[in-house]
Amino acid sequence: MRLGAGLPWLLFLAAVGWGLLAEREQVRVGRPWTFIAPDLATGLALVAAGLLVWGYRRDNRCWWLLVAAGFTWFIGTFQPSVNDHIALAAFAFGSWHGVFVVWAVLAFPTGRLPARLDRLVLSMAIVLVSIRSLSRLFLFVPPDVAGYGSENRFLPITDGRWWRVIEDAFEVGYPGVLVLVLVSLAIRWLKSSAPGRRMLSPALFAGFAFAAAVAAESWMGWNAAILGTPIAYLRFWALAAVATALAYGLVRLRRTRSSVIDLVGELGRDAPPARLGAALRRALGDPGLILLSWSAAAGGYVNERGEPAEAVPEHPHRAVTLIAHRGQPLATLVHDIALLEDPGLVGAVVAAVRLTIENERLGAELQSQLDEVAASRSRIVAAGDAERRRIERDLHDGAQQRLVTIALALRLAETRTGDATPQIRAVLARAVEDLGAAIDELRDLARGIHPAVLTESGLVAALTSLADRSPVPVDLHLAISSEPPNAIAAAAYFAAAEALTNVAKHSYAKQATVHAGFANGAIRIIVRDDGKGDADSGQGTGLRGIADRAAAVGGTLRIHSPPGAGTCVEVELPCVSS
Amino acid sequence: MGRTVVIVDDQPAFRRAARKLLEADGFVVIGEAGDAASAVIVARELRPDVLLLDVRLPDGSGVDVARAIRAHPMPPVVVLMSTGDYRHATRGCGAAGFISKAQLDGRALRATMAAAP
Repeated sequence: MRLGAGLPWLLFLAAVGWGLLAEREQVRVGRPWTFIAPDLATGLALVAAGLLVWGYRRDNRCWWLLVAAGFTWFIGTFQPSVNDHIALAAFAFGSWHGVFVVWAVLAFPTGRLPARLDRLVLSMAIVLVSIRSLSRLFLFVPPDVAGYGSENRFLPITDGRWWRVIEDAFEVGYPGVLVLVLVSLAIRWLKSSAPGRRMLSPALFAGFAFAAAVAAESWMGWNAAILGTPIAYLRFWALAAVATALAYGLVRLRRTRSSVIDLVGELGRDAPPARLGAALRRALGDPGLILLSWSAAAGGYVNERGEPAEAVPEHPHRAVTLIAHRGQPLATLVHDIALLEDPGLVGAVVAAVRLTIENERLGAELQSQLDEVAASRSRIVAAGDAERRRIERDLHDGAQQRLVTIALALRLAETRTGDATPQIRAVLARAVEDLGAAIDELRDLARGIHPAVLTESGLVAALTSLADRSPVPVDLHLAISSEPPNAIAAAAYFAAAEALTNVAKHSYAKQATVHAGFANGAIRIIVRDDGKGDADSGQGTGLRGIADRAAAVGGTLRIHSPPGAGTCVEVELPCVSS
Repeated sequence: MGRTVVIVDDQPAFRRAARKLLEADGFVVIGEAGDAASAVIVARELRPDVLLLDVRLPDGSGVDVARAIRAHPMPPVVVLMSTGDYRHATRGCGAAGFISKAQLDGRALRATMAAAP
């Protein structure tokens, strides 16, 4: 059944109207406000408690039982009505609120009556109240008692003894039902541990108070209550207390749910599985809760200390809740059985635990994959560097050497061509010149592939060589006391080389500076120029390549290049100075 | 008699070409070596005027050889050479200068020796 959000307010307004209509009859006969106010408050408290339950769990029948108890509560209040039919109905059906209250208390907090004793007690209450209603409808009731001023009009019975017998039986039987209700509550309370008792305690105490009030009323007699003695007020307040207690029990349950919401937040923030058990115990208020995690390595469950453990309740009042994901066991909770009375609560906790463990697993998996990607990227860069070194070495040992040797041979030939024609000497000179240019180009190519000076003489020599070759004058400030690892040195070198290339090509700078040194476990290369600035790191692949290379070794690249104020390229690479 | 020279390079073809070129320019090549260890020994034994030393040797750096030789009594004038640009490498190792291999000849060698501090 789908009910709108405005229904509680409509029902409550209807209850207020219904109650005021009923209390008007009491006002009319001069009943004091000290009677009317608690009478009105009790009925409304029952309705309000029911609506509170509705707001919490609409599928829990406790809500309409309490609302029904509130509305039927006011039936008896119509008894002074001048309308004989209304007065008779009020007299006959004024006790039916008791059936709904008994039902609600027995079914609290789940709305169900799984125990045979509870169903028996409710049946007794229904039978007792039904018989009383029928007797008041059809048997002769003395007019001074009935209050509506006439004899019974449905059956020609004038003997008031039958009615009295039934009334006496009710006055014994109804308190007996209340005692059984209390016994049922007490048994449930005793069987529960902390969380269950927290829910049931208010209802138990209020139930005792109500039973005591009813017992006192029965002992003193119905007429005493009708006459407005303080005993009647006690019964009212006690019943209002029962309604309040039921609502309070649910609020406590809701607080537990709120703590589960807090638990989800806490788990989302930083609770590792090691602290998950403690967080669950706190959230559910169950200090005996045990969290067992499934260990694939152990082939079974392990406790929070990592020791193998059996997922069985060690006590009759403990329950086991399995937590699985796609058929795979994740964990098991051994907890207070009372928590099962709120399947939604347990479901929320199970979901939170499942999410936490699954998140932890996914997080570990993701971290592992990220680590693998980072390691793979480092390996790719290292392999690339090694390959570049090999190519450079091959060029150096092969083509460069052969060309250099040929160049020397040609120049030797030049020295021995005294009798050759000018054309031959010119050809030779041109060949020497072209060969020199080819050697220079090959040297530059090899250096671009990998700077041999870096491998052979280290980062300081390589940066010095860079500065020497730069067409823009470079001030070097090197504070490199020890050689960083190869990958770091290569990243540092290529960053400086790319930055100085950009200075020469794009900055129109007159001067550049290169700072290099260790700071906070990292090597920092800073290349500044006094050029036009406004460098765009998004253009070209050079700086992006440097950024990628820096990232591959866990480093960062920062570029500061305001228009007209030069450019500063800063590369920081994690590196422990050895 | 011209200045005596020892050529240290791991490429025999280069050593041959360099020897002929320098000898054509009046130098006397009194020895050759193909690696760093041999270079130190040859320099000590032959006591050349000039040690023409490749920077990149199979078993080490010519710069290290230059440093080692600096400790010898009456060390030769060390001139580094390479196909690459190693001008900076002369600093602090006692080398008199640097010549690109492709530019090597007697005139370049004399000029380098003359410019040495």
